[in-house]
Amino acid sequence: MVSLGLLLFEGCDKDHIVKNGMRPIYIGFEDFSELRSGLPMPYMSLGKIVTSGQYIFINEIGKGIHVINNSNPIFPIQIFFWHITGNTEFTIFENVLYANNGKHLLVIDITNFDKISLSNVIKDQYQPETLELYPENYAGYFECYNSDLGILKGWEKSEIKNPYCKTN
Amino acid sequence: MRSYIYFLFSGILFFYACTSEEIDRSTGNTQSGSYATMLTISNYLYVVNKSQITTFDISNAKGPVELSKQEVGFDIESLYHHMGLLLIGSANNMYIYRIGANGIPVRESTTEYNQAFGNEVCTSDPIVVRGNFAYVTLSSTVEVCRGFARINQLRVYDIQDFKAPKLLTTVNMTSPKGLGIGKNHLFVCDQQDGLVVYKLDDPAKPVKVNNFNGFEGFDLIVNGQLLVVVAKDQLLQYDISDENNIKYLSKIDI
Repeated sequence: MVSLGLLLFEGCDKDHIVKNGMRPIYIGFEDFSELRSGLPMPYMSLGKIVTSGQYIFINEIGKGIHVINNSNPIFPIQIFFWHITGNTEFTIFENVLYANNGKHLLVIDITNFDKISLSNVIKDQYQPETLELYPENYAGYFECYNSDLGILKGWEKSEIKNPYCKTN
Repeated sequence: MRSYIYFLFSGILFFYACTSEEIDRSTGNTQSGSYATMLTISNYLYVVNKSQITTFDISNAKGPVELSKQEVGFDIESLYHHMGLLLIGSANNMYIYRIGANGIPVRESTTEYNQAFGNEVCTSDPIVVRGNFAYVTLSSTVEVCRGFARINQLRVYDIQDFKAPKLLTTVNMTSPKGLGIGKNHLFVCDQQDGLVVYKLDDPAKPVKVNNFNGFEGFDLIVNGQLLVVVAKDQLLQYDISDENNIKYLSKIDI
């Protein structure tokens, strides 16, 4: 179990403490350049589910949507992964996918499952999560995630000044 | 070995599917799991965020027009539609709205889950309805609710008078999550116990009759004769054409 702790300043006679750790990789809430249909991805942390016609759509939390052809339920086939960074909520109506990215509501044309495209953005429908996000399978210092800076895309190794967050 | 063979087959079929021009793209008859927060009903899109419900006109599906935005409460987690009613699950309350002729929801009632405990109980709770009965799961886990009391229950409310729902029955569970209703059974995901099946001979008194475990159940969809279950890292399907003899069909866990 990961617990988050505040680090009190150690050795107050220095201006900066520099530690090796992890820092968030951000993508802006208005950056839709990574939105695309791609090859199927493994299941990591599944979320919301929708069925429509012969298809099953499952959210991969924060990453996008698994598309499964379920015309034979004994043999469901993953056919695409729709990359929508920050996505946790969605529904489908006709050939349109409504999906959030943590802040905005995206209107996405899915007429061609293999070539989805952004039709519209309805801004500021969500308050970015203030949840304490942390790097998975990692113990040590990290730079705290700040939702003002964008969607959390991943974590990278970095030197961190005055680390404030730590996983045990 | 079995999973290896399965993987091979799915790989072959995957390539087949991708090269085929014949993918049937017809969608329609969209169904959502019980943790849904967006629903389309006729030409309206309803979206709940943590505290509000927004109504959009989607006569032009690609250009939703916002009709109304209303404050609902705190920590909203789910949105469910039943016969012109919208049921909204939040950490502490079940809200019932009636959809007006203009598509805009009007609040009819607020039912507090934890009157006995005050507001100190942290739960999460999707809702499903059949007839006059609403089935709600309440679950609280140490991770989300450090320091708070824990409740893990399935509850049945009589909502015939949707202005004043009445609590009828409480069934203790381990860690209940999403749920759905078949012909005469209630299917409930449980993070610890997988999938738990209750018989509804008396809709007010669910009786546990079956349990499929070995996975962290999260949510499900009853789709005719098919039960589609999402676990943390797998998708499972069951044939429920005979609800007294549920058959496992398949899973994807890669």
